[in-house]
Amino acid sequence: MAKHKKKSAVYAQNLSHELLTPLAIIRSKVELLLQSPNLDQEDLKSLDDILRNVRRMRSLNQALIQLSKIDNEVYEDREAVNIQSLIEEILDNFEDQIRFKELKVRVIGEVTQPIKTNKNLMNLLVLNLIKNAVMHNKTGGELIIELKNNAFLIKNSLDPMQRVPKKPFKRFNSSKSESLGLGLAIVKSTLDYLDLEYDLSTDENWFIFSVSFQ
Amino acid sequence: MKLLFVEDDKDLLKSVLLYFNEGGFNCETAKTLVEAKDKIEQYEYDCIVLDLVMPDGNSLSLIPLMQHLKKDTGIIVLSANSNVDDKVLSLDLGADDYMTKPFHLSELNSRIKSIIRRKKQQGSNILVFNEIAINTDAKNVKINDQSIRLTKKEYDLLLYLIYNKNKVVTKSSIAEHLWGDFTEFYDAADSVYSHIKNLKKKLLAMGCEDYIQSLYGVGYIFKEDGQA
Repeated sequence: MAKHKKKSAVYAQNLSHELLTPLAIIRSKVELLLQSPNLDQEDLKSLDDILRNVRRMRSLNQALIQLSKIDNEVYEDREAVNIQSLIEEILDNFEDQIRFKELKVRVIGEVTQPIKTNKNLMNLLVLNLIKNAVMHNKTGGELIIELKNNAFLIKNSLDPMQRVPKKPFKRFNSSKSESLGLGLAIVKSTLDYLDLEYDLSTDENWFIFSVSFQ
Repeated sequence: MKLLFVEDDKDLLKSVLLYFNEGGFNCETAKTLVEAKDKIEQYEYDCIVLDLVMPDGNSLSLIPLMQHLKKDTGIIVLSANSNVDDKVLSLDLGADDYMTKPFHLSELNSRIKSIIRRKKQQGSNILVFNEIAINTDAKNVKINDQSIRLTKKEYDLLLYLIYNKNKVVTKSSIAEHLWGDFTEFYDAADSVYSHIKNLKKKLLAMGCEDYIQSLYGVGYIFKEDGQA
């Protein structure tokens, strides 16, 4: 059974990789078209729309590759991971965006003991959670992270313009919540694979996601 | 400057050739590794772009060949795989750079030019464009011989625009250039607009011509005949 699962992951990934060349071609053709001096505003807007959708397809494709990998259990290694270090490193990567959105970031508590888990998956999990917390935050909003040795919680204020869907975990919701839906789909797959407990609660002002390692 | 594109997809090759020929490069192609080996053995290139997966094998095998022939050619590997291991492997083998598909032509352009600069010039690396002088080693910029203080992103942005001068550069490609893998986390429109605005402000304050023009929502162009 495991062997069959791995094969299907390989097929799915090969197909996803095949998609990248046509995407590169579309993008390059549009870039070439943009060099033409005869374009009016309508033309430019259309070309911009095409490029935006190429970006969307690429994101979707990357997420598909990721989900396929997780669903087919390719992550078997386990090592000691300090969640606090991981979170702080990822927050560093978002420094520009955090500053740009004027977010107030607070990290409360600490982790004194590492947990034994798959580093790549944990990285993916935290990356997607923090990405959502930053992207779907309002300008001047807050991002609060609470840490304990066997659990962590990420809480962020919400952008009033973006509504969290009723079924946040359902894959591929409407295009508006697409990125949130995909991110959460990856998060859920990761958590289910690692067999971790989690909880999501949201009201009109806050989005709170907590993970526990028992 | 002479380029060799080792790529088997006809459509992609067509776009790439159009763009780079237009940009003043002398371009050649190889649709198989056998053809590539032939050309590498016979001719000199300033930079070679290798699509990893070719119909007759993995193009990384060309790198040891080039080293054996003592060619000091720039090598950029193009891959459909954003796997970190593949990137490390390519760079360890001797590639100068690694890019994933889909890529922006303007990004490929900027990387090729950057590699060629690094290989050609020993000593001070000053890129001059009218009143703008960019020292690519020290990473500082002077306008009319006076130093101007730019943030890292503003410096990267200016260099990118100048490498792609007279060509439309999309916001999307600028975002990817500045934020790489983290691009999807940035609202390209706002962030790029803000950096361009700050860069322009600083340049104009130093008496620089206004070379950066915006192209309705889509992108920008660094134009040689600037506005007064």
